[in-house]
Amino acid sequence: MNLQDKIALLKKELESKNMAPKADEVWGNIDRKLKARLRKKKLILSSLALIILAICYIAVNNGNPASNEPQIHVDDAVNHQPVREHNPVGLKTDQKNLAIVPLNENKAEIDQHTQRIAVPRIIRHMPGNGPLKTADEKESSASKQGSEDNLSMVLKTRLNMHDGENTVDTDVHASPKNETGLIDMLEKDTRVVTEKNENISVIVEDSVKKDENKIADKNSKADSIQQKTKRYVIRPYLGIVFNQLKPFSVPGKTYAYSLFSNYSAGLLLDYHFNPHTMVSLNLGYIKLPSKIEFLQKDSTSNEEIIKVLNTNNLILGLEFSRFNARKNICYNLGHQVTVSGRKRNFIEQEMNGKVIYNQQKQLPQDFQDKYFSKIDFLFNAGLSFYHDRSILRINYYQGLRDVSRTTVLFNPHAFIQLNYAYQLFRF
Amino acid sequence: LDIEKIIKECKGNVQQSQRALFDFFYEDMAKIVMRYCPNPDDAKEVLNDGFYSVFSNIGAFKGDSKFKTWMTTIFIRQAIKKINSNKTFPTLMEVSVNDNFDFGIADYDNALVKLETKELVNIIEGLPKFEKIVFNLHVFEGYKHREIAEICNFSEGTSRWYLNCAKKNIKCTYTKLNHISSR
Repeated sequence: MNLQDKIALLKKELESKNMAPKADEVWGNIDRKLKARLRKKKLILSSLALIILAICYIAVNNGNPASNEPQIHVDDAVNHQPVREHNPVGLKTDQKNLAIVPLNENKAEIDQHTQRIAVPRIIRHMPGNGPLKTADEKESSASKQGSEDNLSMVLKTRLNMHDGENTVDTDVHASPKNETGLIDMLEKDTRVVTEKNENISVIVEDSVKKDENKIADKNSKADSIQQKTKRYVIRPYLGIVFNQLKPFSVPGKTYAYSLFSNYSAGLLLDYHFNPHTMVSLNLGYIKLPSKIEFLQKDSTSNEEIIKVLNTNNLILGLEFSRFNARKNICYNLGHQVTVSGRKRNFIEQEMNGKVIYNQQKQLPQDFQDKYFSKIDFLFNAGLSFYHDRSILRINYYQGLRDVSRTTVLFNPHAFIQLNYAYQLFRF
Repeated sequence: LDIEKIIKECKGNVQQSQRALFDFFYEDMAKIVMRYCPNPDDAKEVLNDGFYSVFSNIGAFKGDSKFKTWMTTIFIRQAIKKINSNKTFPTLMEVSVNDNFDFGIADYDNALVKLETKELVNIIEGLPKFEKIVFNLHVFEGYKHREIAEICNFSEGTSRWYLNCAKKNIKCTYTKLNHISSR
């Protein structure tokens, strides 16, 4: 026998000496891993798609004059703060936010001589900021505004309102490039503002000929509306929850992980101390996680079992939030209590045709007692960023059940909540 | 079996094709893995990780080499990774040797031919881990020292050192057995 033959023989002998594992055993694990990988891929893609959709929604909403979001910015004549900057999340409006914006009864016209837009009657009332402005004040306001023109990319059109002796200037920022479009938009948005936000007081005079006494009456009416402003706001929310696939080993033959999950919904009752400070009470429902898998391997029958557990949680939460309107940042701190209703929702699923679906079967009592009969306390600390009226909120939760989440919220009134959660169940 | 078609489908995560590819190559890959990891549990883990790696990275296979060769490299790397992760074995000893260093094992070939196959199997399985890896790669897989060095992440000289140590072991065993039989 030569060297090559001997090596071939030796190779064969080495390969056949020990029994190779059965193909089915190996495939089972690979299959599971591949499926998990595919699920993870889908999860990432769907998350990305949702984020893109949300961004598109914000972009479209901000640029669409016909949308519910007001598209005009009426500057504060005194400190040049846009009204919405005072009120980033539609909170209670204080006196500084009171603004009178043009309404639609009489069409605005362009003065042929001055090339200015002559609006029949647009009066801006700032109860906290003194009387209506004079022509001199108008000039100083105009010069201030001129410097802003260089910085701002939006179209700015000046509206001059003549009211006998007084002249009031209102600067209107708007995106449409023609004046007709601007007027249309003013009409629409004014309507939206008056309908949507009870807190903003609007006084409109239909005719130039009405006397100032009427204006004063309207102003006092606005003050009374202001005094009646509600401190409570109820916000509904609907959440989409994503769980990170998180397999991990535990002693013995059992391990668990949470899978793609589903939704949360509820109501937030906000109490506003002022437009920048609030406490929220959260009463909600969350289904999280949707499944837990127990993979038990019986050495004699080589049987694998999957048991699935649905978790329904009632949420009771308290959160303190402080807004910094200038920086468009909100800091929040809170506590959540979830009362688990998971005991009754245990079901079984089959795997590899071995285990039969069985809704009645319960988890071992000691397991239930240990993990599911207690209330979960979640600590929540968050940071929110505001752009216009949309919010990106990043929250961190930490609790007894090792849950951490990143939450993204858009729109303060009815927001979508994306949770990316880790659920670790220890045995 | 149209391997080209199956590979293409595997790139699209078609489960049936993945199973078909697995079935087609399992036996060959199991044999290779068993040479490096005789322990069935270790072999199972290597096969597991190896096939998962193949399916995860199948998109990167451009057809420059044979698919089996590409797969074999993945499994060998997985096996080496497994062996390296085993703390009971000594860690790698990097050595600096002259390429022309004479180990005095010229009659290794003679020993390899004359020794019984079973004896040789026992000797090879009893080799220290890196000697065994290098011996397997060089003698059975036909890898060059440059390639072995690349796979194992050590120098070519170190690869040569381990191969010659393995050969020396075989020769010594042969000499011992010869001595015993002559007595």
